[in-house]
Formats: sequence, C-alpha cells, structure tokens
Amino acid sequence: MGIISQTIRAVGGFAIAAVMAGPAAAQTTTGVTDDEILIGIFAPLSGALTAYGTDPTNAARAWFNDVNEKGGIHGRQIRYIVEDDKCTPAEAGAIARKFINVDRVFAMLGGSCSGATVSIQELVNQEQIPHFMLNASGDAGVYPPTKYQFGAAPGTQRATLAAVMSYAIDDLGAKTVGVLGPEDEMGTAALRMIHAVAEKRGVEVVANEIVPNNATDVTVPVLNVQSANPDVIILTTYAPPTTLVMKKIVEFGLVDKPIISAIQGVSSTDAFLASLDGDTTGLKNFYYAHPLVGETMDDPGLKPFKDLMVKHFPDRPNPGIMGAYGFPHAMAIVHALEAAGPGLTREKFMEAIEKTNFESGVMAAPTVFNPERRDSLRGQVIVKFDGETVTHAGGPYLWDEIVDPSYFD
Amino acid sequence: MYGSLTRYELAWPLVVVAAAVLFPPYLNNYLLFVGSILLVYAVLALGLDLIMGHAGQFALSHVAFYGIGAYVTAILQSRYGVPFPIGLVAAIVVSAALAAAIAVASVRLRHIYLGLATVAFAAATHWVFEHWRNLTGGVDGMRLPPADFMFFRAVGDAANFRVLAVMFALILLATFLLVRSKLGRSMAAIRDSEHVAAVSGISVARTKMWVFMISSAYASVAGSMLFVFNSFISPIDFTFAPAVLLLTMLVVGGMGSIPGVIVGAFLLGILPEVLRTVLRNYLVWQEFVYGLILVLSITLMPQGVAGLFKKLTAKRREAK
Repeated sequence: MGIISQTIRAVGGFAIAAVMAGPAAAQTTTGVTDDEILIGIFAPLSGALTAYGTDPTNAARAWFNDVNEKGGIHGRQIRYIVEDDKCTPAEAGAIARKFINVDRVFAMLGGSCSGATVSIQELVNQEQIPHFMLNASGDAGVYPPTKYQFGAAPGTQRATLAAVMSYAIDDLGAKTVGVLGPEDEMGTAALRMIHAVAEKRGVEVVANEIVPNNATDVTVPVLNVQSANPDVIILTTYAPPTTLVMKKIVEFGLVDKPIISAIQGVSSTDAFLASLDGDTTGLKNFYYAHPLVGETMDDPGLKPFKDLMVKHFPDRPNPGIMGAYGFPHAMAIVHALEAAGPGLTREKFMEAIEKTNFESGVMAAPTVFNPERRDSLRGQVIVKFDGETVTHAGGPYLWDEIVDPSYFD
Repeated sequence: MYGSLTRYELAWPLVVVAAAVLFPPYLNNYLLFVGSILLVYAVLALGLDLIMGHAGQFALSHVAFYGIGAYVTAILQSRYGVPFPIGLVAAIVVSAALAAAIAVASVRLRHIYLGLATVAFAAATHWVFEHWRNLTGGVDGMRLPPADFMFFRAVGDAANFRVLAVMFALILLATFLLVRSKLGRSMAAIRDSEHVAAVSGISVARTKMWVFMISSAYASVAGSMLFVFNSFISPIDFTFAPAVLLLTMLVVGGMGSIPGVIVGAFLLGILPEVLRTVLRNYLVWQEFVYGLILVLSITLMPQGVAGLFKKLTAKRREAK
C-alpha cells in the first residue's frame, strides 16, 4: 500500500472515529459496561517535562493492572487510555475533550503540571466527569475546591510549609524565621502558609528574600537573611537555587543555623549531594519536608510498590521516587469503584469518593476526600539529612490541624 | 494578483461562515475544540505570512503579540468588565502601537539581525507575562470567564467555534484585500528587492512598519480568539515552541500563498490529533513520527503544499 493511501486511511480513520462519536449523547453512565470501566490517563510523556509524567503514569497503570489481575472490580476490568499532554493547557484541553466526547471515559486521572490541570477544571465540572490529578500539586487546582476535580497527591504548599513551620517551632524552638524562596505560584502559596502558622504561634518572619528559579547568584538574599539572624532558615526554593543557597550558607559560616527546605528543594538526596559536589559541611543542621513513607524507591516502605512497577514495566527497572506519587489517586479511584458496588453509576462513585479515607502505604499521611476537601494529602513529615543518612525527625503534620482552613478563605 | 477580489476570494469567507452555522450540531466538543485551535493557528499563520511570506522579513515576535492579545482581552474583561469586542479592539491597538515602536527601532535591520531583535522582544514579553503577577497572574496563569459579546456570552464549544469561525472569515477577507491592495504590491516589491522597491518610489521603511503593525495585529486577534475558547491562559501558552510551530506551518504550507498557509496551519494543527488516534498504542512514537513527517514534507516539498500544487498543475497543463 502506498504512503499516500495509508495517510488517507489514517486521516480518514481519525475523522470517522471522531465524527462518529457525535455530540455527547445522553447516557446513564458513560465509560462503564458490564465487563469494563474506562479511565483516561494523561501526563507529560514527551518533551522537557517527561520525567514528571513517565513514572507516575506507570505507577497508576501498574496499580490498575494489578487490580485487573486479581479479578477486577465487581467483575469489571479497568481499561485505560494513555495520552501525552506535554504539560501544556492546550494539549490538556484537547485530550480531556477527546476522553469525554470520543472515548467516553468514566473518569480521568492525569496531569503533572498545575497549569494543564487547572485549565480543564471548568470543563470537567461542566461535563461532570471526575478528574483526579496524577501528581500535579499546585494550590490553584484544589483551593477553592470544585466538585469534579481532585488533586494534590503529593500535598500542596500548605501541607509542606505547615510541616516545616511546626517542626521549626515545636522541635527547634524557633521564635523567628527567615525565608528564601521564589515569587511564583509555589513560593507565594508557601509564604501564605508560613505567615499563617507564624501568626497563630506568635513567631516572627524576620526576613523574606526572593530567590528566582533561574537565579545564578544568591549572595544578597543570603546576606540579608544572615543579617536578620533568624532562629531557623526556611527554603521554599526549587532544587537548583537551593544548591546555590546551601553553598553560600557554607561560605558565610551559617552551618550551625538549622535549615529546613520544602520538598521541591531536594529532588533526591543523591542528586542534592552531587549538586553540592559531595560537600556535607552545610548539612550539619539540614532538614526537609517529605510526603512519602520512604526516601528512595528501594526503602522498605516503597520497595513493594517499586516491584509492582518493575513487574508491569520492566523497561524501567529503576523508577524514580516521583513514581510513587502516581499510586494514591489510582488507589482512591479503585477504592471508590469498589465502594460504589456492582451497579456502578457516576453518582454512586461520587458519593463513594467523598468518603475516601485510607492509608496508601506510599504517602506519609492518609489519602482523604470529602465534600469540602479536594486536596487528598494534607500531611508531610520532616526528615534530617546529614549527607549520608536520612532519618525521620518529626511528623506527619496535618496542615488543617495546624491552621484553620477558613484562614485562607 | 492585484486589483479587485476574485469570486473564489469572496466566496471562501462566506463558505467559512456557512460552515460555522451548519456544522456545530453534528460535531462533538472535542472536534469543535480542535477546530477552534485550527482557526487560531490559521489566523496566526496568516499574520506571520504577511511579514515573512509577502514582505520577506524575518520576524519572530509573533508569539509575543499573540500573548499580548490574549492577556489584554482577558485582563480587560475579567478585571474591568470590558466586553470582548472592545477588548479586542484595545488588544489590536496596544499590539499595533508596540509593533510600531519596535519597527521604528528595527526597521533598518534585516534577515537574522531582525530575527534576533524580535526574539529579544518576545523573550522580554514572556518575562513580563511571568512576572507582572498583579496583572497577568504570573506563572499561576489566569482563569477566564466566558467571553462577553455585549448581547450574548459565548458559552460552550459550539458557540465558541461559531464566533471564532466568523472572526477567521473576516481575517481571511481582510488578508485577500490586503494582498491585493497598494500596500500588498509594495510588500511584494520589498520582498523581491528592497533596492528596486526603493528606486520605484516605495517607502521601504514605512511599508515595513505598516506590515509589522498589521502582522502583529493579526497575532493579537489570534490571542483574543484564544481567550474566547479557553478557560485558562498562562505564560506557557506563549513560549518559543508555538513560534517554531508557526514557522513550520508556513514552510509546510508554502510561504506567500494564502491557501497554502491555511493548509499548513490546518495540517500541522490536526497532525498531533491524527497521530493520537492512529498511533494510540505507540505513544512514544507519536513525537518521532510527527518529526519525521515534518522533515519529509520539507525535504520533498521545499515550496510547501502550495508549491507542490503549482508544480502538479503546471505538469498537467504541459501534458495537455
């Protein structure tokens, strides 16, 4: 067959498949048959942000495969379709519409970037299709909560900074804190929680220095924090600027000062240490917030989940730690499908999902959804890293037990 | 080429409007959304083709004006309650004014130097989108309300598609008129030879400035169209990636040919969706095949689809 006729067939196939789907038909429960439940999965699987999507997607797929191998849910197998959104709102918008109108999925699980997930919030609420973010954790997707969008599997900045501040105050006895962080969405959300806890506990934020994500020199912000002399230094920076700050901490002799980093500052301890050229001088009093039960996929708590991923995706024998974030919402979907019973409808599923409350075995705190809550993880732990070992230092701390959620209204 | 419009040129915008009225009831939201994306791409590509294909200038700031159009319309409606049509006009005025300022500074530049100057402007604009948080929402982006057309609000993919199709039809008509106007002749003369154009009495600097302003206004209109069918915009929509995609649309379609550019925009816009369906089980191959198709089409059709069509037509005539 010639290339031209193959192309015509391909384009024709697309057109027929898309048009035949027609306008959304009124159907009791789309995406559910007697023997199948259809889920649409999307994540960045190509381009610069592939690393954020590949392993979490595999984790979710591995979980669904495992459920299927064990007989499925009430006699139904979970079938999933995977699409690549490249973390862009436009692609996410097209994919979500394709899932809803062409594939007719029952629910969607996807999104590793906040922008792409927030961009389909209105659509999923309009179409009343439940959408669970894969590992996107931006505050904008879940605050204020909307009925059909669920997120924050790794916890929002509220969860991270509540843990950081609680540990600083309760365990390190901080009366003053100094903050170094970016001015972006994450940095702003982080600062909001820092001020909320500080106000409540009578702690003073004596320095708040902006460190852009693309900073190449952090001398001035670090000097400003040094001159403010806080009891504890808090970092809400991403990994590259965190490295710069830590090097300046050593240079300016601030190594005795306790430093607590948000999770985004330490992508993995190996990578973090390598970025410091193996120099552990600045890690004398270094802590960071963490949402998982283990530090690497080989830790005893996470090893069974790694094994499950490798079993189903042997082409990736060493999945990254981010992969773990793909489990909790896949588990939440399975829990709710089980609870909804054999006569599955979307209404029953929504009722069940709003009663979600389980320990995933992956995350440091329970995965919870209820009518007022769409951020599944509210707790994180604090760990101490000295350059060699990671030890549990405190927590889990649950942000809504530390600050009344109404503070943010 | 110049003078009054042909029957075909008058008919096409009418066909687009008729399609916009007739088709939506038979199309699902996915197709309508993809259709809306294609219309935006077509307007963007037509605008870029004015400056690159018709006037022969190498400018890469199109994506910046695309963003300006989107943000101006969005900010005016969501923050100040300004209806979309007024916001659209404001976006065009702001873009044209900015384009004029840039043109004054860069009108003497050509080729890669003009390209670099306009890239610098695009980068600076993107920085503003990311960092002027109070106005643009920064990297958090902006949630957008349905476009307010004073007499009605465009809610839903079908209504959005209809509005965009009408806007596209108007842009198409304007492009045909522009290319056949005196300015269109001047643009073509400059493209072929700036020296010859100058000695023929054409003000090269003024023509370049006008083309740059009009081209930027097109991009701004496309940005406003983005506001119509999206409920969210963020700086990631206006990175260098869409700029490269636009250039590719022009190359694949055929620079300087209005039908060619539209075909290029539609082909490259629809290709990812086709691959999504055809290569459903070969996800990792989608990007590869996309790249391969681009390389092959550029290699096999150096003048784009329009060039290939011309060649085939000429061969058929010769055969007769």
